Amino acid sequence: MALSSRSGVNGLPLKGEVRGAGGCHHGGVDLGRAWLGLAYLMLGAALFVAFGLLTLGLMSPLLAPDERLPPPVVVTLGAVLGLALVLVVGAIPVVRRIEGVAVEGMLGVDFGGPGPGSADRWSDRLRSVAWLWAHMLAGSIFVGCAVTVPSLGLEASGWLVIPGFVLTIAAGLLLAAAVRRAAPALLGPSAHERIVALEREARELGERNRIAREIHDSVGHALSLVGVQAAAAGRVFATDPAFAAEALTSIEEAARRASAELDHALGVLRAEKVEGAERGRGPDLSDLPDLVAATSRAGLGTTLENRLSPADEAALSPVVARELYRLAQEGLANAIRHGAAPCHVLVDRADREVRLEISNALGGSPGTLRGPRRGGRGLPGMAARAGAIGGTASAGPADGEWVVRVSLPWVGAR
Amino acid sequence: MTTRVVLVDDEPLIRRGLAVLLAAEPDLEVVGAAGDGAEAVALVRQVDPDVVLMDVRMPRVDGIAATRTITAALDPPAVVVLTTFENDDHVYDALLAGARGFVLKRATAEELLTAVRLAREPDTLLFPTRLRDLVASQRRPVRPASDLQRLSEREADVLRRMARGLSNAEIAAELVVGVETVKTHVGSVLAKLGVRDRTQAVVRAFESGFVSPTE
Repeated sequence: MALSSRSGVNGLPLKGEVRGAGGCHHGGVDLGRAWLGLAYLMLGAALFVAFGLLTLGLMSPLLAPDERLPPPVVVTLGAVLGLALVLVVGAIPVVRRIEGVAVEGMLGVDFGGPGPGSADRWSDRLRSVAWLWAHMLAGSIFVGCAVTVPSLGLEASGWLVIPGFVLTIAAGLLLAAAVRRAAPALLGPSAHERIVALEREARELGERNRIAREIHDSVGHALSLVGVQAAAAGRVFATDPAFAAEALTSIEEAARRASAELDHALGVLRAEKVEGAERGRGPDLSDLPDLVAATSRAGLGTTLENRLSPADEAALSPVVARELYRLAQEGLANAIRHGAAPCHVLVDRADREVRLEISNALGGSPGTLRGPRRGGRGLPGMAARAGAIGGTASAGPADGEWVVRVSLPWVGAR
Repeated sequence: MTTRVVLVDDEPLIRRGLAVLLAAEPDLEVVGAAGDGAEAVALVRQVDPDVVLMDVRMPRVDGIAATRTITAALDPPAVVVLTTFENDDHVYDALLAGARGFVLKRATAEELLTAVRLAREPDTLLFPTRLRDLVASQRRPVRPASDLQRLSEREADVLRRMARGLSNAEIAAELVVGVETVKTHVGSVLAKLGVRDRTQAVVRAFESGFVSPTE
């Protein structure tokens, strides 16, 4: 079952590619993008000046009139100190992210995927440092040109100031283009980050395969039951009408449950697709009514009782809200397997915890669809999911009902 | 002569459906039903059926282990594996464990009844095409078997035709020999491979690469 086919590794291109400036792929010059490129160079120059001043400040004891160090030594010392300062600052992990955002926004470089994150590894930090040096170098060259070339023209002859300006701008555009080309190599995803992305992709794929297998299992199981019962009922329709009636009832139930499981599983897949599309924003508590409605539509009457106040709901951490949704989803699947309609879903807050309870009658024909490989496979997963954020999940019969209980710590939005 | 059948499936509704289906046939008699492999082994010892219809995937003792135990006995019943899924690894394992053949739960009533009736016939391979598809779907390494080299040319011819699902009479017609001769060859093939029945011989032939399931 092919569930998705995306090119590249999680959308990461193999080499960072340069996005056509504002969609201008046909060689036209996008003015806005060009100015942004020049502005990016000016930022580099500003950094250069800042580091230069800092270096001068630190060197001031050596520059006092009574110090008699030869000028080449002073210049070399200054250069080394300046480069070292950039190294120290550039190696700060978050600098890579900041530069990444600037490069994406101002130079229009598309790194693919989420863009450069914090540099957690030394190889990435060193690449960031190299990038910072390149940025400052290009910036200072550009600003250096801007300061000197037009005025040189002005000195030579009044009207030469205009070609001087044009030359400076052209040099700036060339520099920006060069910097843009170097960005993927110096800021783009490292092999390690690609592997992490690949692993995540593999995990997602594994999860999808698991769901596909579950659909196959549960629906296949139900359909063979329907087939056998229908075949038997057909054969003895005249001689054993009581059995035929009984078989029709089991067929009806099996079909309804299989349909509910199918709808549910497809809902999970759809939710994941949406989540993939809008990175970071998965379905959360606010999507619970939709989930409940979908389950009801599938033939398993389900009601939702949300006792959280709108203020509580707004204050709940998005992570907890999302996990609560996922747990409700899995809990409903569990309920479909172990009990009969209708289901009742309760969400409540108790002091420092938020609780989810899904209950339904054990009646009907218990375990109709409970195959050997479905002995609560979902429950360990739910417990792990809840446990990961400090909560608990359990399920079992209580007072003639199948009850799924989840408790998560109450964590505010921030 | 009625065929006495034991049904094994963890799903009561499947057991019930099959029981009604088989009981409607005058030549078949359901003598017992079990919900897992352990129950099945005990039940078979007790009622000594001719055929066991055995689900593979069951809780506790599964159909593979039960098939192995049941077919290890002296003069065992024919085990026919019941499966929801075609090309299931478990079904292949059950065949290796000694099952006579397999039938899909979604098979038509006729096919199911045929499987039960034919299971007792030692000279017939149950649903040869299905068996071949199952073997072809297995991505297991070919295990060359030296005992296959010991077959005479004629025995090898016979084994290839067995794998195609031909009956002894059909093989006799193809090789232009008498049925009794073919029976003798089949007997020596089974003896040389050290297997109990036709299905086992064919599975071995596929497994060792002696016959390709895609031929």
